Amino acid sequence: MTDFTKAFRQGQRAAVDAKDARAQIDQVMTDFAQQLNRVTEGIISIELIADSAFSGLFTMAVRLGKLYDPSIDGDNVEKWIVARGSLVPEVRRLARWKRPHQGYPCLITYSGNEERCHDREALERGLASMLQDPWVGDQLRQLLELSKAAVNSPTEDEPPSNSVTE
Amino acid sequence: MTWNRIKPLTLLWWNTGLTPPTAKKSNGRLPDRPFAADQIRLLRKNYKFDVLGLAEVSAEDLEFILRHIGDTSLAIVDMTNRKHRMKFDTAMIYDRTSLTLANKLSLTERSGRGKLKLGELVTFETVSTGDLVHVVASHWPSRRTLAQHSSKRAELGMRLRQSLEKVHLANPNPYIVLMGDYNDDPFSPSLSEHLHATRDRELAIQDSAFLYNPFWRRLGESQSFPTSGNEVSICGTHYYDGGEFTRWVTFDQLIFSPAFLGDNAIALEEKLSEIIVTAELKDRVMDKRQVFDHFPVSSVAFLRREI
Repeated sequence: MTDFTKAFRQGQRAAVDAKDARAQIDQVMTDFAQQLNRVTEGIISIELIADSAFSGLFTMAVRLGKLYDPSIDGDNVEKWIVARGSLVPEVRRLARWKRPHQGYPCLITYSGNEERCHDREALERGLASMLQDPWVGDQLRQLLELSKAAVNSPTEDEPPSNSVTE
Repeated sequence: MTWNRIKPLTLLWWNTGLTPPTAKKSNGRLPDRPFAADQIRLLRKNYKFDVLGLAEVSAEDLEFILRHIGDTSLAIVDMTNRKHRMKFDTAMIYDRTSLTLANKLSLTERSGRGKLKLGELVTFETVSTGDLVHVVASHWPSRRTLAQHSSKRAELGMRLRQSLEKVHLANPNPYIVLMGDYNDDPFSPSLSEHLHATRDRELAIQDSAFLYNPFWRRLGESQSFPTSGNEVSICGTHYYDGGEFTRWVTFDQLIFSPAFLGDNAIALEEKLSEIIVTAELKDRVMDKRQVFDHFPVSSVAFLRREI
């Protein structure tokens, strides 16, 4: 007879392992977002946004203290790691992001690179590699410059836009 | 279905040896560039290739080669990158009158501190029929840097297969060509088991999880014994004088998705899958003082239109 009891226990263990892996990934992403926020003196915040958010249909980006919010990191939804300017209504896509239900491997796709990261250290290195990329660097630099320009120019009552630049 | 052949799609691969990943400078082996460029000009003249994948080249090598060939219909997809510890040394030259570049993606896997480069995925659209052809160029680590039986070789095969899953999501029967110097033979587990690049054509047709590797047929001596006076026999794509059990290996291969074997708009012409040997290149390949130690390989598929 098939040992369903054993299968059940294996499934429960797998569910716990997957939950732990997802929590670990959330922690890495939060660290990543916090460090970037700190080094840019709060000018840039990192978020995960569902692809559909860009179509204007709906947004899954829940901003929590302007940092990465793990609650939106669900499965089977194409997402983007984006940089949002806190001083300007600008959002820059940095990379596509995919995380399966079991946690790893996470897939980061940016600027002609696809990196599949199989554990915590790999994910940290993958994100660091993304930041080192010239195209990603350029997106962040532009966002910083726009923010500085906004600070230096006289303020006007402008309606906020959701302009997204790829 | 009845098909009308429109034109051949000729795919070539060559590890030039000009700028290996271990080279300290990116200006390659300067005195050898003209010979390599001449060989590529000959390949263009004789084979009218649509895509030529290259390994062990730098951006400077590519610039020199393209200038030397002087064919304005050719363009480069430069995927070389020598800025980081892990060097990328592959590129493609393609005929832009027959193909349009649609996308390119560098495929890497990270595990702990380690990083594996699987290959460069380049998607072309055929000008005459509008079909998408996905070409992955790979130059896997040499056996000096990654031992023959290292588990990482299995991982390379497995991960490359997994990375193609997204192509299958967009189209369940895609045209995928893998080309490269895998530093493994067609029978090595990395390719035959983990990548699923089988020698069994019928199995590949029946089960889309497999790929078909026509270079299984290029393992032995190219000419039967006794050879006639003028025939040159070789038994592989790469020659290493210090080989313990054989000096020849078939590390350079082109591998096809089952779509090329079906009743479809692009069909493999298997008899044209071959190792390209010229007398002057053979002299250099077999001379251990020379930088050249690989022969080019080629495959042809035909673009077709339904009658």
